[in-house]
Amino acid sequence: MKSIRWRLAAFVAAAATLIGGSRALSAQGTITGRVTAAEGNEPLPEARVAVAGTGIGVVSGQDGRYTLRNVPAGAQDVRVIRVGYQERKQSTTVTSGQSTTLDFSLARAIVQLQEIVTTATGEQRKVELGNSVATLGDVSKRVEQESITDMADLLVTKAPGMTVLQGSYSMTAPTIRIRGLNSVSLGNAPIFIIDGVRMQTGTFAGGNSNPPASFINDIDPSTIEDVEIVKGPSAATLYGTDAANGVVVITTKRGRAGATRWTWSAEQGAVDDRSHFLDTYMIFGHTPANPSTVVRCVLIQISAKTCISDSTSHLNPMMMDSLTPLNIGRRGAYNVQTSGGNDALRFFVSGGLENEIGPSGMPDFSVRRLDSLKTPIRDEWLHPEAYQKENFQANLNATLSPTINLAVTSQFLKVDQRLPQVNNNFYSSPYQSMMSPGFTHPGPGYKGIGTLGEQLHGYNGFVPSEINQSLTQDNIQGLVGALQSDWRPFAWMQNSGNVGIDYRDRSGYNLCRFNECPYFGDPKQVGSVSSSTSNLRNFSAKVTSVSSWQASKSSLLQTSFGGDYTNQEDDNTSSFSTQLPPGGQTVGQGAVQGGGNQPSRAQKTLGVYVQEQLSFRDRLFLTAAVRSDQNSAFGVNFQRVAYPKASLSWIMSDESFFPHYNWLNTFRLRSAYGASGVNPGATAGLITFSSSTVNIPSTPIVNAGTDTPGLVSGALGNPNLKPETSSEFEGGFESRVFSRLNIDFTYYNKKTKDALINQQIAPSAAAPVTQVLRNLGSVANSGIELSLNATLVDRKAFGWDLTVGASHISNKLLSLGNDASGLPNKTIGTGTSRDSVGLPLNALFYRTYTYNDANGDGIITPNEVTVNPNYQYMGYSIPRDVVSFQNGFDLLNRKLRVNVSVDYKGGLQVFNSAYQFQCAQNLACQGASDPTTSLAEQAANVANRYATGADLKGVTTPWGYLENGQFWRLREVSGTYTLPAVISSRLARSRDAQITFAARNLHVWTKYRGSDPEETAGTGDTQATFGNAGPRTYFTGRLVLHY
Amino acid sequence: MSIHRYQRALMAGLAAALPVLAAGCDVKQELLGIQQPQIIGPDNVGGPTGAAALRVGALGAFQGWVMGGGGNSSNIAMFSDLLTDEWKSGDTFAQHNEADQRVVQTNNSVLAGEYSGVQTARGRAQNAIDALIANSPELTSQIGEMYFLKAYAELILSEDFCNGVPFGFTVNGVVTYTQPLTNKDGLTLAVARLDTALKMVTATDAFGQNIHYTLEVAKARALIDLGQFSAAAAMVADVPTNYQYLTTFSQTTRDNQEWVGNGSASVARFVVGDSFDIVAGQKNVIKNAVPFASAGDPRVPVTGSTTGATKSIDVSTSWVGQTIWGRDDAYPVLSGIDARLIEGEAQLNAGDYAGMTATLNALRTTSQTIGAYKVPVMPALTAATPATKDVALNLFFREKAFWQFGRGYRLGDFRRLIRIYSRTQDQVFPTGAFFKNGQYGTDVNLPVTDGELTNPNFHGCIDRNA
Repeated sequence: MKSIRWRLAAFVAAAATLIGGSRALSAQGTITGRVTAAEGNEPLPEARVAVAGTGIGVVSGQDGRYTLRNVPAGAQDVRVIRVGYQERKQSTTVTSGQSTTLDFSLARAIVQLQEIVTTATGEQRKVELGNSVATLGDVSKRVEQESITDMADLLVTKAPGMTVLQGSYSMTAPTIRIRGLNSVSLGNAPIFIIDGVRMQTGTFAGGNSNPPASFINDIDPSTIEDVEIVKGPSAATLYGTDAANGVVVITTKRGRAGATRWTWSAEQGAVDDRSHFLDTYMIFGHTPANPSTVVRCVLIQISAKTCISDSTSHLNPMMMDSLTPLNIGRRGAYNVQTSGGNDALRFFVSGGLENEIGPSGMPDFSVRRLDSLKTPIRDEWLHPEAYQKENFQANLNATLSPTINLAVTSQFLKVDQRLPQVNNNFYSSPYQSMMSPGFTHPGPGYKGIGTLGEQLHGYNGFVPSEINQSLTQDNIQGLVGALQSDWRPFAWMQNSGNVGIDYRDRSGYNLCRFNECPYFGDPKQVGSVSSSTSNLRNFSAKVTSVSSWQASKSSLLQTSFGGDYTNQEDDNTSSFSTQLPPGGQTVGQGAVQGGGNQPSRAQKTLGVYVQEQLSFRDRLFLTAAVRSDQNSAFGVNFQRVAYPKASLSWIMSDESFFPHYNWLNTFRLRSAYGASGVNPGATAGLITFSSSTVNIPSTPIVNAGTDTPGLVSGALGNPNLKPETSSEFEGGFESRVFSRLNIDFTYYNKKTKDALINQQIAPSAAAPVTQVLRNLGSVANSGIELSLNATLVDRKAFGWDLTVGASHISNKLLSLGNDASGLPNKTIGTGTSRDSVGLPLNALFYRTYTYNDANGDGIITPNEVTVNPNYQYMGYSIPRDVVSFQNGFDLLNRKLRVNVSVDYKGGLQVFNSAYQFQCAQNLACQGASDPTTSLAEQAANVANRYATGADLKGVTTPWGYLENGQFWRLREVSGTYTLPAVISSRLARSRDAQITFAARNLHVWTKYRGSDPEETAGTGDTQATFGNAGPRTYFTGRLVLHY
Repeated sequence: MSIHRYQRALMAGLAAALPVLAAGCDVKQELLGIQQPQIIGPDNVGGPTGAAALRVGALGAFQGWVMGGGGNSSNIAMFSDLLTDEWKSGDTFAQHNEADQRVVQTNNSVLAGEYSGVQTARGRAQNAIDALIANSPELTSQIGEMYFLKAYAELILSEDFCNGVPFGFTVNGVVTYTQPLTNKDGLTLAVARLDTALKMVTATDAFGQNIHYTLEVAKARALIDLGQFSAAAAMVADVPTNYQYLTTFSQTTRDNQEWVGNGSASVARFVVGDSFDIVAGQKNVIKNAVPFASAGDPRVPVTGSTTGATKSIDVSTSWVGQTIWGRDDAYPVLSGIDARLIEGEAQLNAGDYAGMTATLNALRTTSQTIGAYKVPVMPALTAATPATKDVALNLFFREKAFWQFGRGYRLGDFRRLIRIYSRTQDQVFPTGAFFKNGQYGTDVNLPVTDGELTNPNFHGCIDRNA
């Protein structure tokens, strides 16, 4: 009853508003005009024209024309902003019921910056914000002119404070973090919002067998208009619970009024793996007692004179042409886009097809083996790393009435992906290569023949002919769509609504057919198959109302309030079977079957907020806001959380008292404070039980039992669970000097309190779990970010622009709460990665060692190594320092554009776990069996493998494989040539045509000894470095035609 | 615009937002109310059916730590046997290698999982006890079985781990930590719990009888560890030799870890131990080790050999696989053979070496079953009846080792040989050069792992003595 009463009141109020709105329309007029470039007088499309102090604004069409309707009568200031041009503001007087003409001529800005950003309350001028927001700007141009294949390529090194670790294999999952690590036990990844809809960002596959893939890569970069990175809580407050780790806001392209324009692009390219895989070595020798028998010698035996070296060999199957499964992959992408329309209806439609065959393949000797067995070779064996994406997008913008706009965005996507066998995976080529004996033919300890009688050619136990028969593939279909509406009942009020969904349907499939895949144990190659499906649905709804009041000639007040609602649901199923018949490929065809499912799981957030902004003389902007959230994952005893926000932006250079120099064009101070949170997880607060099917002996007791369903207690639950809350202060300035250099500096200080921590429970408590999630700790992050954007040369024949981004972070765990006896917890973890108070999250701890070649024989032996039994703090596991240089050169009268991008990451240690494992398990490791290797390399091996010290009883340590993870990478080189108009029109009848040759991940400079300093097997906070490769190297050529 | 218009504007905006606020009138139900059908909550666990389900769950947890593990792991029985001469590590995992070398670190992640698994299983057994007593008190045999599950966990933790294992509890999510106990106190705790169950289990049906024998053998095992030999022998006097308390497996639930960890060469992390191994290409005799792999004893049937070309998962250790247990063969947690061996050890302690020999011969000369494996009838021992305790100890514990191979008895036996029979660790455990690197260490038990340090009463093992 109460609900009905409320709804009735709402309806009445809304109706009253409508009536009021219709009355208000009577005292209004129209402003029309044209926006042109001062140089050449050419029309400027996509310029944003807005009436100051109101919500009235439009974008100019292809002919540069615009029309502002329902402008209040009287004197009005109209502002025009466009990327690449200087902002311009003009005054005019609007007469009720009449049209006023106001044309704009914009001067080109030497430094091109994005001036409008999308905030939680709508589009806003960047200068009004007290916080830093990074924008990628003209994404369309980047995609056309660089080698960008996925979201990671688009984002990497583009925004100071954002760290992007690209996936190691074709289109695999990136790891993205913004401004350090906030959370001890929860994820630290930012959320993504696309066209107002909470985007799916989860990963799948992965684990110990395959690289992880991500829904993030499903989005076609060529459909993106802009990407904004909202870095911290000070900026993300109004995005609410879950936004504490930052927000990536993606806006897809929109149609513009004017003639229909077409863009056609085709790309072809090559994909290469330039990783350096681990070498293996062999010292052939004999013992003094038995000179005629060839044995493996290792260096310490040579030192002890128990083995005498005769000859050496070296092998790296992954990097030898005749043995490697790697070859040059290929890539193709085709895209057609069209946009146009009129003032009433505008459209953007895009269709794309993308194919990529990664470098993972099958060596010739494996092909010959299968041929000799008369086994038909499947394409999936030859190309276990493959990706195909089909994408269709249609966006419509309609002006239904002078006060109502409607936009529909819709994107359908289909992805099919095959993933190679890699990572910490016994049945993978990188593993089998690094465990090679160091030679190819039968020799000491190595028969050279596998379990199926196959020639191993130096691989450890399995070869790619069987390894590649293990199929892992994922298929995704998805729909991302939103309906957005704007309603402007008054000139000074704009109401917006947005409802949308990101829907993804994924099916995963793993298959080893009968008589295929490595023979790893009886029963022999009986076949296995597993199938999994996931259905993920993010529903998002949002309403916002923004009202403006010109309180005085110099003061403008803007009040925003609104609410949003997010419902994230998912369900999944899994099934498996083993013992397939010949030809069997489905779960149902297996003799032994099993499976499970997770019915729909939901997590819902409802938030409301209010924001007040004061604009004083269009140069001082004060903002205060508060948001309050309820979330279904909060504990039953916790109802609501409030996040405050305040910010200041002051364009000081516009003040009369500010000293004016010719070289100093603008100077803006800004500072912001805000808070945001991360929710604890859908079911984290609940007491749960888990099913447990157990085979129970039959009665009377016999040798076989019956599978019987049972229950065990699961999570202990926590009724007081609340979100962990991060609050942040940031301050900085932006300045333009010499009319060609923009400086943007930010300092931030962020503190996370009520940090959700998996509090450990000692096993002896006999609890059902060994940890319970509690709001216990606090974490601090601080840092600086610097962005320099300069046009160094700006001549008609030659231009050079440079963007430098740099950031430095400090991360510290402040508290871990108290233990069961009330004393402060000091650390979580006892191994090499710990969360310890006073140190960064995931701090690295190792036992160190010293060594001394006491006998001077050039070989380090266990008694020459001393290991310190105590663990010592070693440093950060995430990069502290990130620097990028992005150069753009315009040549040949700006017909040729060359981009060169170099970046640096440093301040971190990376544990080279593959190398450590190799040396612990394989005597063919360099430190054990390469007579030319350094003493340091030998000492690392000895300390890792042998009891050390004078008494040979010292503990071991893998510290020698903890390595400096810093590197410089030549990230991008591209050249785009715009064909002369006469050629493009004659050859392709196009308005213009561009040819681009681009390369990505060309070279890396590093001392890291693993496959690549950016190798990773997961998307966790620290790099997983076992059996992986570095990011793929691309060489692409692209033709773009504009009609 | 006047302030009044602005106020009106705000009102209008508020009105536009009212539908949201209206929806928020009963937010918890209409917008934030969720169904989590995948969650089984406390409401589902009440009544006799819930209690029965918790009993099954407790049996699963028990099976998990007794003979579960999975591909990358092991269990207490196999891990503790690795510390002795029964198994050798054919593994790439340092966690197993250091156990084989007798230098187990307190941060050994495999052992940490096993220790945690045993303790968690104690709690699950107690949950089932509480639920059964509350809802099905008439099921005394089932309740007694749950007491056994809990007591057996306490027994094994005291038999295999160092002095200083705490036995706390958690009730309704409230954790209670207790002081660490010596092994002796831990065994006494287990005996008291078994006594409680023995009084309860009086049914004479097959299941009840089986549980009763189980309680008796378990208590006798604890008494042997406590040095109360005659009481132990008396406890198992009525247990038939063909009795077994089995845990059973299936491909859809869990495989027998003896098969998972050892059954197939290329994935074998464990290989059957021998009296020698290969160090730097040379044969190396392992002091004190029984030649399980090469003895050809029918109680430990094997395939492969210590010098064979077929290697385990580390591709360097020759694989020897036991063939007692296949993938889903039942595993005897306790058996009548164990009962006879308890009697034999009591005879040994009483100086009745002839009786001990007779007991051992009685086992050899009649058909026995280990799980599903039928041990062929063996000839009686050819050696003369031992004349001295030292000879008797050697004979008895060698025979015991073959009878109880792979069942987690060996570490307790070694500790008793040191603690009760006054041998030194280097007279009992494998000693000398370790075949993978360096020398054997000096561990005579398993350490409580670092996760226990969260318990404010625990500061490490009280000692690492046998």
